[in-house]
Amino acid sequence: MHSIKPTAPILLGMLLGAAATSAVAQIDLARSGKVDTLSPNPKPLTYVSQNLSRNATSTYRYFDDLYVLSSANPARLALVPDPLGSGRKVFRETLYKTDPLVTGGSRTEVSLKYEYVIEGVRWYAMSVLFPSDWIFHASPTVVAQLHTSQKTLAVPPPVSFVANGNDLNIELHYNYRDMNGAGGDPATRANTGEQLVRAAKIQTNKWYCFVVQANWSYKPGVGSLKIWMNGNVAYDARNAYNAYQTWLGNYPKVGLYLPGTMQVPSRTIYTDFITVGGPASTYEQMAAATPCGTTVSATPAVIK
Amino acid sequence: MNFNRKLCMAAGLLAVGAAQAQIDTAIGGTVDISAFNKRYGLSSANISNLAYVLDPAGSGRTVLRTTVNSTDANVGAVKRTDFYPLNESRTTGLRWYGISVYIPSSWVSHPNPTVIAQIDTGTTATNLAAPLSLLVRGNALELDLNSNYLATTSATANNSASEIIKLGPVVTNRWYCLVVRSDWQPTLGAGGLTMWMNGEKVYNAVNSTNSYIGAAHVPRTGLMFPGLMGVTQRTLYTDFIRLGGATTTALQMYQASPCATFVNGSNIQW
Repeated sequence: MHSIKPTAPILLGMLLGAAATSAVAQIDLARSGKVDTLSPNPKPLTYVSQNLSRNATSTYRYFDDLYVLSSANPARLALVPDPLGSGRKVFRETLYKTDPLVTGGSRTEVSLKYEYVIEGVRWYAMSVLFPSDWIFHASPTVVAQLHTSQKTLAVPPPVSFVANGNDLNIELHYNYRDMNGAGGDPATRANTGEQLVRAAKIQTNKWYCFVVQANWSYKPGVGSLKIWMNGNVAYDARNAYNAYQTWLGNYPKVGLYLPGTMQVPSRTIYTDFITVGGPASTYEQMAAATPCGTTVSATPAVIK
Repeated sequence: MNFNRKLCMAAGLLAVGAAQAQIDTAIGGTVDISAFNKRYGLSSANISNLAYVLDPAGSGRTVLRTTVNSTDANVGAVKRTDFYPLNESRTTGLRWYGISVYIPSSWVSHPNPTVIAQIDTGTTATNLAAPLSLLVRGNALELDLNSNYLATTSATANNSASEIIKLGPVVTNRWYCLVVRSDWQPTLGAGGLTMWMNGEKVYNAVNSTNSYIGAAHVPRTGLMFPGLMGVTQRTLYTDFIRLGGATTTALQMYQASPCATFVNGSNIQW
């Protein structure tokens, strides 16, 4: 019997195949999920496919294998115990008004390193907790987003979760037009569709766990978006475009982003790790990954 | 030009003016029981399912009580007791609506939906859902939005865009005052819609299709069951329907509503 020794191209193909499989799998551990330390991995790998394969099976996970931090100072991100005492670790993001701007904005945000989806079904789970010293201020703080990889036109994210005063809002943006400035009616910021949906009155020291099932599309009449908050459906749209002609694709972020001039001296928020899932994922699988679990909370009050 | 013709022209101009003005005084609004049929149309199996009563919240104002019994005959294929202002059929452009409902403590929670306010359409293809519905499903309030940019020959319920927005748990014995500012547009990527509930901005959309081609928008309130009632009887209190022209403000709409006692210029979200 002849044994076949895999060559480098075959190995690379096998790795890429494994990575592609994980992208459509249910919970995608190659691209998302928990980390055990913020320290850099002492054994960095060169290729994306190598990282994805290692992430998919590793039992001790490093931040820089899965996430990217956007902050003026790495010390603004900490890995801490869940403030509600569950025992799980979560992120704590902090931002000071005196911090230098990062890519033009006040931010301490965490995004997934290898996660981009242009079209089709993708699941996301993102959770945030407003601490008891949260200052309620009538200026927006974006605490989680499903942003888009921009082409030539800078546009707001397709989905963002925004604290504004006492309100927690879901903000949506989309445009079916050409994003490269081509044609007689190209996409602009002014003709971009936008929606604001009230999700809740904010309570501090409470996890807000969002599960999103997005069927991304910029094409008219195509696309769906369903958002659960703490087990309840908060928003459900069908046959409606919900994104842009994106470059690399749509990707999730959590943390703190304050558009414009920061109106409070500092902000601190707790966020869970981001979890993403392929088309075959279920709500229960995604919710189980969050600090809220699959427990359904009482329907939230959205008005006083 | 004879006197009668001048009078007709003047009346026409007044009517146009009223439609563009702030709170519309010619359509909808508060009317005595004797004039109800001149201002409103009623969809009900039994005229006695609508009654003029005092505000159950004790304000002293006159409001309407609508009832549907499970034994009532269907009206237009569904069980309903709801009413709509006559001579109101805005197709495109800006219009303000004020619809207030009061769910009594006798309300029995049931998973089957009860529509309690709508901005429906009169001229679109059949089976297309209303562009805007406020409904109770289980113990929660919900807004349903529906639209389609396709031609009337192509638009169907299946290819229409739909949105569901949850407004939280139903609180009984409380007025819910919905104010809507709509810029109705069936064109792709056009249209605007802002909704306030009890002064709080719960929804806002810009550059978003919100209707159907050829739709004539008619507000309705009362009780309507798109499926099985699930209960033996439903009762709902409603205010009269208010309409406003392009220059209306949310504050003006609230000042005319049963929520005027607690929604004012200092707590409306803009």
